[in-house]
Amino acid sequence: MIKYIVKRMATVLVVLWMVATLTYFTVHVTPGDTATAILYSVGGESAVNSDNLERVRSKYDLDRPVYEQYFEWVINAFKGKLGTSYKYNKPVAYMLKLRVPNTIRLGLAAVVLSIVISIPFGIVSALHHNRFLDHAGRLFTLLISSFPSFWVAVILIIICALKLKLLPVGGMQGPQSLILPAVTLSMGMTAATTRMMRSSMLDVMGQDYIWVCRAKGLKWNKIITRHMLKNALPPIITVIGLQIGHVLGGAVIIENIFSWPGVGGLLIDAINAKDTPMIEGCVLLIAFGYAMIHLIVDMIYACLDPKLKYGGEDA
Amino acid sequence: MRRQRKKIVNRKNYILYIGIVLSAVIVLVTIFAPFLAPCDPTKMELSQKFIAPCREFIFGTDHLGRDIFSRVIEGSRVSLSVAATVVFFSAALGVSLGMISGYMGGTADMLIMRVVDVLLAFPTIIFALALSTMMGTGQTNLIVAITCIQWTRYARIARGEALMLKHAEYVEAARSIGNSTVQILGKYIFPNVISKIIILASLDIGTIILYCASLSFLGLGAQPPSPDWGVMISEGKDYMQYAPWMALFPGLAIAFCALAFNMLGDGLRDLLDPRLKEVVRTD
Amino acid sequence: MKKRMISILITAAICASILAACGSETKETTSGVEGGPETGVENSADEKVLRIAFPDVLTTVDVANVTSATMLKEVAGVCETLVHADEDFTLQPNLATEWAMTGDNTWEFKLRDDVTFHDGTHMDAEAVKWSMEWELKNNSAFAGSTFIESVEVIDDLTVQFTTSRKTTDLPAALSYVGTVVVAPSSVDDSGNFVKAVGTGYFKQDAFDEVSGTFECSVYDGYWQPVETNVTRRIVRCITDAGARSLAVQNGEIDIASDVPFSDLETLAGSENVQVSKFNTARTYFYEYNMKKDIFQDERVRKALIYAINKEEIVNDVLLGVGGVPKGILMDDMPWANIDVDTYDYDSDKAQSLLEEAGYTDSDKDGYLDKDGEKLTLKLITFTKRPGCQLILQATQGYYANIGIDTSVEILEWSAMNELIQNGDFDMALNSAASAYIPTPAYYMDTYYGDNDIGYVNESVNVLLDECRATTVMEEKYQYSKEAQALAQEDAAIFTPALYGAVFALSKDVENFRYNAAAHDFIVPYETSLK
Repeated sequence: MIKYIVKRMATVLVVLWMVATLTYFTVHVTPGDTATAILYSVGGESAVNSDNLERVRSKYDLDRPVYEQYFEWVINAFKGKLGTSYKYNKPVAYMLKLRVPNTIRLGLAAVVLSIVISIPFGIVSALHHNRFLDHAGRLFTLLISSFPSFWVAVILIIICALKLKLLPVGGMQGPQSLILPAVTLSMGMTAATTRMMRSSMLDVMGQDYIWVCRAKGLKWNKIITRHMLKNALPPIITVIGLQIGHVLGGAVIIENIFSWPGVGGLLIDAINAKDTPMIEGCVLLIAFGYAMIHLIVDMIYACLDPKLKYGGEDA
Repeated sequence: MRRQRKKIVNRKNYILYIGIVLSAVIVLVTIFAPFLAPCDPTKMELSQKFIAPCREFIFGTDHLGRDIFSRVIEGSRVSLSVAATVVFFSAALGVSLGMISGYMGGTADMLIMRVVDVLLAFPTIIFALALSTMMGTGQTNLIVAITCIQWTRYARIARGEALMLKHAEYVEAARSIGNSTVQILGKYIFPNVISKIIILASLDIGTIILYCASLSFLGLGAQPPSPDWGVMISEGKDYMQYAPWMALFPGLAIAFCALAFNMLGDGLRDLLDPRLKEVVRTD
Repeated sequence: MKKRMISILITAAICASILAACGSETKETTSGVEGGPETGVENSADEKVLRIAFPDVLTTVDVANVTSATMLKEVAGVCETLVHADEDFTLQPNLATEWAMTGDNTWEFKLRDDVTFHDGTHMDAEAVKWSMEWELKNNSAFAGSTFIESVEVIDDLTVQFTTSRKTTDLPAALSYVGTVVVAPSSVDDSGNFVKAVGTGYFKQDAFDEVSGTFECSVYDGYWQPVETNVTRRIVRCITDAGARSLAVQNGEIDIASDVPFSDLETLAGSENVQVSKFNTARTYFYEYNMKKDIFQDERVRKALIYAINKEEIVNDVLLGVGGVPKGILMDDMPWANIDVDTYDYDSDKAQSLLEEAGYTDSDKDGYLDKDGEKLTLKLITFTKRPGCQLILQATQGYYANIGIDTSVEILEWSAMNELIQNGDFDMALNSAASAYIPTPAYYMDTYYGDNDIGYVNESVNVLLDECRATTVMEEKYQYSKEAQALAQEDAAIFTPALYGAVFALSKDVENFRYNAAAHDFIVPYETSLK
């Protein structure tokens, strides 16, 4: 087990390095001069003049060849130094540390919300297989996965904040600010998890041992909780894990719409300012979070299902 | 219980029927868009701006006096052509690389799967965001950006299938009578992959329409004045209180399309491959 | 089984540590917002809290960061500059009482002697020197905008500025937000800027680095009387225009700048919101790619202006948010020349000028062509200002009317700038503040003197040199006006509209005045609440 974790961590490192490299060169071939973008983001178009450009280039050593800048960045990153943001003039690690808890909070809220909704929904759908509730549930999941989340966000703001005056339109002022972003963010995940829960339950319901339980005269409730759920849950965990990753991605858009001060807003801001150290920091962090979630999911899955070999096939 | 079990096998696949009808409608609308649109979708008429939905303009007009109905109709071409292109190239690339990876094993497998791992380490939307900032905005770049990530899903399925069939008796037999690798992949393995790929592809169309809309909404996909649905929502967002129809109808159009193709995919899955279940749907 | 137990334990440990990490950080960060927006409002009956939306991301209160300096000076009212630019763009003494040019590259400024910082210390020459040096070192845009090279202390209340080149515009430059004066106690022992200790009527109470929410309350030792009933200001960062407007309508915010154009009409009759439109010192301007043969022809340049209906753009495309230009600049500026030809909409004239220049629809395909080549223009603009995209699309329509085919590209600003430098465009629609430093030469200098589009007119440059050299204001105005007339005659750059901004204020806000000379928008000290 320990050996497996070490091996996986090594893979994660390699993946992170490749991700970082790809991002680095991506940012560098993006149209637009870096010094211009920095100055524009700092002081508007009026700040962009030849004097200032020269100063910025020498301050951040932007005139060096890209590969030189890249190597220096990689070496520092391995030492755990993510550098200083061009735009904010503050250490990237510090900025991330401030923002990450908000993204985690939003992500967790969305994940918890969708688990709370989707698992009971999935079970009920399966138990009512091919009856009204099942069809309704299936239609519901199809619907919520079909609406674009940013569009739903805009509509929700209008209805809940403006017309009903129930919730704030954005920002982060107390727990009520979390509701709208979390609801929008959880939509896609709720749909996928509900569907998975339903089909996983159906799968288990068709197994012979359930018939044995029935034949033994066990109570139906007991069969559901003791036998069906226990066997239907493991595949759900994989789906939840994968979905958490997607929640991370979706958070970028949702945070922007709701002015939620998380990593997503920082990333979009950094992309516009060509703030390379900041972009790198955000992307690495998200990729790392993604990889760790996958690792944890695989481990939990392995614990729950001993038949499965580590690192085995998916699907 | 007995009743239920029987039904699992025999129930009517309504979702598929509805999905087929809706998708057919969308494809027809896309093909005949120029004939269906009552106005020129990019023609400005400032004297007719912000007209609420009425008999003449059933979806109303936008801030530059353009007919939203015509734009939504025309927008189906933009969205669907992007989605179809992405799916086609992703499937082609993913299936071929996946089959090679699974069948050949060894270094090729390791290399391809490492690339897949790296790409999967990015949430799709962030990768597309990064790529489209890199290559500049515009439709072609959007297609390339999304294809770059989307193919990995096909590759994983094709690889799994190839890995499984590699040692099947008929494949061994084909090999022993001197078929080349390409022939084996094409004749014996590909047909087994195809049904899964079709399911994934139809589900993907809905997903990609949503991705494109998100990117256009962030200003990274199609550009105004192109009647792209994402662009229309992002333009309409600022007039949400004044002219809510500007963002409402393109949003509904996206949802309708995504729903149609999701239903088609779901239905196809039940029909072609009930064992595949939800695993391919992890977006 | 044993293996399984171990793995469960490890998993549990990892999950627990992650959760613990989140938990502890959550506590840390929320403690910073204690007494935040909610609690602040109803704290006590006699508190009057003015809540303002700031349209940018704030991550620091460091005055070397232009965004934060703008917030501190103009919005919160915590920091001040030596010189103040009035609503009519004239310079007024502020922390400095008088100034004079003492040499080619030196200036002397006398300071007020009754000003104290929020920490109680005296605002003196040492503090000014310290502030300028901090900003010079840490603000990348400082030196190139002000030309300040060094600052010397002459005596307790006199400072001498040395500039990197001869400039008569230093007083104007010292009204720029980047030059605010703060006490050295703003920086802690390890050299971090931790608190803005300024000289304004409001003093900093709290700043939340995560959300960017800033709070300040009245400073009792302020150096001049102020009439307002506001005792506290809270600045919240809301970057999205629509969200700012909704926050005002929802009663979460009292003042929001730059809300969507349509709000001017939507909220006109609203019970709890007042909306008003102001023209800012910013303009929208088109630049032709003068390096291309087609734009060497003056008739083409002018025809393309005649083809655009500027009034319709302002009234129907920008929904009235903006102004029809009477020249190059906003007409409220004392140095704006409004006695120039603005090439008002005349599509027949546009067509005849193009015909003279050789562009006709010879192959009857509905598009103009010359020498068998179809006239196709590539129009570019940038994303940040919503008005740009609207004007660009409208332009596309006007040009289609007279048979010119166009393609449009909307890019991020630095990417647009790159296209301009590479000459890969035909017309670029840009927008810039014309009074970033409120002087007659500034705008002309930036847009005509040193441009990337290949426009050179020696006479304009000579006039601008004169304008920069003289210290007499009247002469400055005159030279600038003459330069404007010449440049407008050349029509290499033209202004299709003046930039307007819509403000949404809650009904309770009183005495709010708009100052076009501001970098962003000023919330005057006098702003009160009912």
